[in-house]
Amino acid sequence: MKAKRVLLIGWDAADWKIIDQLIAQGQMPTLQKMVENGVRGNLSTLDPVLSPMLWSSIATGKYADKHGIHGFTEPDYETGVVRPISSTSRKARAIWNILTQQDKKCNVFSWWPSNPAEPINGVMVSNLYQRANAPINKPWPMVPGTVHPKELTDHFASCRVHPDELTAEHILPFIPKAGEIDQEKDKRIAAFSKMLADAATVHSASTWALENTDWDFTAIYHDAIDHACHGFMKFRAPQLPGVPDDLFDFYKKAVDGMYQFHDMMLERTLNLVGPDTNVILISDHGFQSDHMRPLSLPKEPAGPAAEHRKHGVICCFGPDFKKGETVYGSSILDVCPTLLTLFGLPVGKDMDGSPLVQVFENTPVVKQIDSWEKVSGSFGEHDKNLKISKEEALDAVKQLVELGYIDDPGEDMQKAMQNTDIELKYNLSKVYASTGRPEQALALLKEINALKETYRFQIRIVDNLKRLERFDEAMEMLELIREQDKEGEKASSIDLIKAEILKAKKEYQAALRILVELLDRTKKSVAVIKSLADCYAQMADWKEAEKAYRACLELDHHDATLHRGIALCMMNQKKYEGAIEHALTATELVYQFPTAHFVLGKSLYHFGEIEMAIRSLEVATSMRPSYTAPRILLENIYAEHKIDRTTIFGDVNVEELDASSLDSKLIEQSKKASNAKSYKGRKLGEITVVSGLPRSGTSLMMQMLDAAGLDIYTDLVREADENNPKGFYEHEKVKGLAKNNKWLQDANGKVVKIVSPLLRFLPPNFNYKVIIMKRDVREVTLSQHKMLVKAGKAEADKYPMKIEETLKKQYLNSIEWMKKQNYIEFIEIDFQEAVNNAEATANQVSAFLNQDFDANKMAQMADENLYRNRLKK
Amino acid sequence: MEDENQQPFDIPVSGNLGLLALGYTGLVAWRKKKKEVRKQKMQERKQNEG
Repeated sequence: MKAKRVLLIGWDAADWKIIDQLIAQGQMPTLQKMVENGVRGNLSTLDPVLSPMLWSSIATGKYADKHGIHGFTEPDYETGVVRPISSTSRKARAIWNILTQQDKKCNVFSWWPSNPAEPINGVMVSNLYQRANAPINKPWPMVPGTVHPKELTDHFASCRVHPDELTAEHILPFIPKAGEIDQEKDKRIAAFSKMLADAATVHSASTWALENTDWDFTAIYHDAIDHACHGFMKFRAPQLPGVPDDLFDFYKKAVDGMYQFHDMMLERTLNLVGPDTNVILISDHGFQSDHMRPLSLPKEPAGPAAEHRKHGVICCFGPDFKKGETVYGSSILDVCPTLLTLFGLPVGKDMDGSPLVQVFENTPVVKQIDSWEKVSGSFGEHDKNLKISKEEALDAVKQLVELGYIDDPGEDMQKAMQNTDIELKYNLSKVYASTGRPEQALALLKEINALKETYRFQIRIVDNLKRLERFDEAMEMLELIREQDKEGEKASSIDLIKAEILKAKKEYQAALRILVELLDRTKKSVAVIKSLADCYAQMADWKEAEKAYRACLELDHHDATLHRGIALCMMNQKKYEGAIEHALTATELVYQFPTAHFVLGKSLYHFGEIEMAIRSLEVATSMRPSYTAPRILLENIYAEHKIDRTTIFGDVNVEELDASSLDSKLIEQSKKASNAKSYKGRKLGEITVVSGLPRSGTSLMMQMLDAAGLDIYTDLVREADENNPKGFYEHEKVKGLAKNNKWLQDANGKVVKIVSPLLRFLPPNFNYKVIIMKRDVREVTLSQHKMLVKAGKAEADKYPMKIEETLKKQYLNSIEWMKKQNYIEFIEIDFQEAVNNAEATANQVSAFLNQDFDANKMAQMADENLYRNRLKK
Repeated sequence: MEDENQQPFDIPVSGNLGLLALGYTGLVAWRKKKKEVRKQKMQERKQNEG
């Protein structure tokens, strides 16, 4: 790397929708310079969109279930208070811990959550640093644990800006008519002053450290944009219905002004770090700023999060980054791995993100280790016995109440602790649901609903039951919710959910009846029309579906799902050009949209744009590995066009494609596709697979592994017979792998038998250890032939000579395919060897699976008498 | 203090956003100015009283 230092700046809730408007008006010149000379992109957030969870995912590269930060507050049963979530609750190492272990000097300012400050190799000022909790004429003590090293506490205390220190000169640029506002009644100016003072405080502390300390890595977090958006976005132009004229007039510039002030701070920061620093500016999520601004917020803890948008920002600027480019498909989980790569350090395989290699000017070497959590050394972490005092905890809770993030816990702390515990579990259930673990989500939701029956928990229970296809239970629960809704206030929502369940059950006519009736009752709500459109689409009534989608589009033209829906309908009516246009719009609005990429790919295929089609389908499969439809279409296209997959998915240089016949949008789409990364989502687990051609000794290997004590995934439907006297060890669901791979979750951690032609349908969201049985193909053919003859499906005297060659090819194709998949490790086991030298084979398998099996016990399974179709040498 | 053209910059006693955006240096300069003005006012008051 050219640069030695890295600066990470976090602007909570920053959104390109506003930034781009301000850049166009020349109002954010510093960020404009970064964008023009760096790489920009959307940064996908995670569910739930709650800052402490998200900034911890950014710092660790892991989902919340791994890093352990599940909300704003947590119960502390030892002191009997609800305290703000603290750095001691994080159970995964953050980037600054890893860099500390590597002797890098780190400065960290105000990161969520970082109190008490961690004893890192450098300066850490915690997130409880900036907020003034007393008038200016009263003492303003530092919250204990705010600063590391402690000797700098007094210095950083002096860097703070109290809101009352600010003057009209500071406020008028944001609220020009502040003088006309009755501040006794309207407390918004006081609230805005606090936000501005917070930003100035963090900026003052961080600029001091940038100038006066040696550092390799600095991370600075600002929350003022998020707070300004929560307080003032509703007053931004265009004026929302229900917003009084005078308030609109007073506060319409507050949000934009806060962005501009951040640009001013950014200019100073960049001047201080100089041109030899790699700078990454990010936000954890965006913020609704247009007609999508909600007019009211859910009355639930963390309700303000409903205003957040799913995409934050990323801008990479510095000597080691590309210039003037756009990065696609980035997630907040990728930030930590990218930082590690910038420092030439390995990325933990247990991290859920991966380095954004496409932002680097020169493709970096990405190193990997199993986990940083297993590495020993000095990581600048807290002593595990560190305790936070009750007073500190109560002070900090007060701050969060003032910010509106949490409700006042009140006098009854026991109840407050239980409620907090429930909220944390609710948040965790959302993490599970959004990462494909509905069973775990369901268990948590049931647990908290038993403690506190709540509509939002119950609705999510229904949703997860639906995902698990436990429709009867979902319906039962829904009717229970209906009974509790005495006033019938939620009747329409409940009916809509019922229609969704019926659709999932493929009972379309019943769903349709409810939806048509709901249409009148809800005065044509967008949600109902959309559900109706989806229902028609599922019934393959493409004309009606298209009509309904278009009706919705009139009301919300920025909804990517509607464009995807229209594209699907048009494709099925063979209107491919229109389908391509709408699918492209859908992916432009939301890039992380696998079904839209699939519709785009399929439409392109029918339109004759094969290369483009393949790329779109590849994007769809990489985004959702368990998505079978694009995978199957890809397989068919390869076969049809005799394409070697590696030539298509190698280093594609899209500039070399024949662009003359292509729409510019398609070229852009193609660039995005070439940037698409291989699967990097959370791995759901590891499965051991025994494979090979049918009759190549797979059952023998299954028996050996069974004898070794491994858990076998079998339904015992296919019973032992004379072909396999010791049993087949199969599962009926495996046969349908190409169409349905949901069952793989049940096979997690177990051994499953999958014939080699089906291996390519294994989705990359699991890791696999494949034991593939190798047997002379003539023996395989002979054995298969004899089995078919016995079953009366082949004639004994007609030996299938041609099939030998096909089977040989199939086997070799499987081997070649596995070599290219980074989520598959495999070993070839010779069947003859397994029978003749069973113990040696057992040891070989044992080593491959990193287990210490009883080789003797395994070897006893190899019965030479069952090696019947042996060719004479 | 100097502005971007290296010209001496007169710090306003009521501060401004530019000074805040300068971070620590701007804050220290502004507070110094406030202190000076306060001191000057005190002296003026003393003189007037005297």
